[in-house]
Amino acid sequence: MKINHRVKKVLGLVTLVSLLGACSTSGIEAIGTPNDPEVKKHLLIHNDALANKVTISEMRSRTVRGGDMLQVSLTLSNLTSSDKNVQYRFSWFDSDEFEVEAGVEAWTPVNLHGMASIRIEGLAPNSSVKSYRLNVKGQ
Amino acid sequence: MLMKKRSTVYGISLMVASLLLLSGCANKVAYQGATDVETTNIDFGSTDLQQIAAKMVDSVLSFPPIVQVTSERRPVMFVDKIKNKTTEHIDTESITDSISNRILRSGKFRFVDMTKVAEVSEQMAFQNKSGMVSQNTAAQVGRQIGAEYMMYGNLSSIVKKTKNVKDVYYKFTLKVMHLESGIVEWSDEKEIRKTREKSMFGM
Repeated sequence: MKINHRVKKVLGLVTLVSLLGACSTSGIEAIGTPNDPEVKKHLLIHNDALANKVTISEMRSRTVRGGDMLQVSLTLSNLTSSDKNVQYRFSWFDSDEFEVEAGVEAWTPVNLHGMASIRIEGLAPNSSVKSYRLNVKGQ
Repeated sequence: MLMKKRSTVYGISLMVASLLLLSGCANKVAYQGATDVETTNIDFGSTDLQQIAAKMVDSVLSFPPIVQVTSERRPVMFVDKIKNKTTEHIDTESITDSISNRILRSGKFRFVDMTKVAEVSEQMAFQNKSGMVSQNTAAQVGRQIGAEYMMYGNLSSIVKKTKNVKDVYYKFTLKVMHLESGIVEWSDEKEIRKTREKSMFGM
């Protein structure tokens, strides 16, 4: 009986480690449309553990001055006192919610120092973009 | 009896650990996303190329004087070779290909491809001089559009090493020159720094 309990513990630990490994690719996502900078209603949390450590705020967007391309800026903050390595990627969508230049934007690694915030800026790939998403995941 | 139970638990733990270790040693081939962060080693890689291309394209297309020029027309640009000043073998044409591809697809600039001049010349000669092509459909010689801007730059690096740590710093500099006036209209840099530390077991 005692053996079974210990065996279960060992196997449980192995399963937990495997599951944690599998979950590490999900993250947090901010969906932005121009003139609607309220972050809270556009923030999707797919990974609570990461969302407790890193957050997105201050979503801002504008059309490039004198031009017609959407330019966005968001704040990425580390809520913990230790350094965090995360990755982010923009996705861009047209007025019909079709992804523009799908697969072109790459994941960008960033090292966030403890309690530090950085501004992330992105420029739409062309003038047809009307909304965007920012995905953030752990490394 | 208790000893026997303990040895069974240790036996199972050892088996699980061995399985995990063995699975780590097995050869495995898997497709990965081309835009995923790649850290196979410290050398210049796909993530560095993608970061450089993204930064340069965003910068040039949002620079006010360039925005002003491209708001009403699509100027023609040609891309010069990027000088590789690092000690690594890096395909810098691949970096400029990514940059020019994204700029072209933004609809703000058009490009002339200087790597294809010989082939174009050969084809033009065939169409106009061979007598095999109807002159009604032959592309006319002397009607190509000259480039207004030139894109050029360089990639340099600083490498520092100790017994256990290697630190690589890359700096990519890109410029756009107005050919007729010789004025550099835009310039920007992208810096990347990577470190590799040897693990305790020298893996």
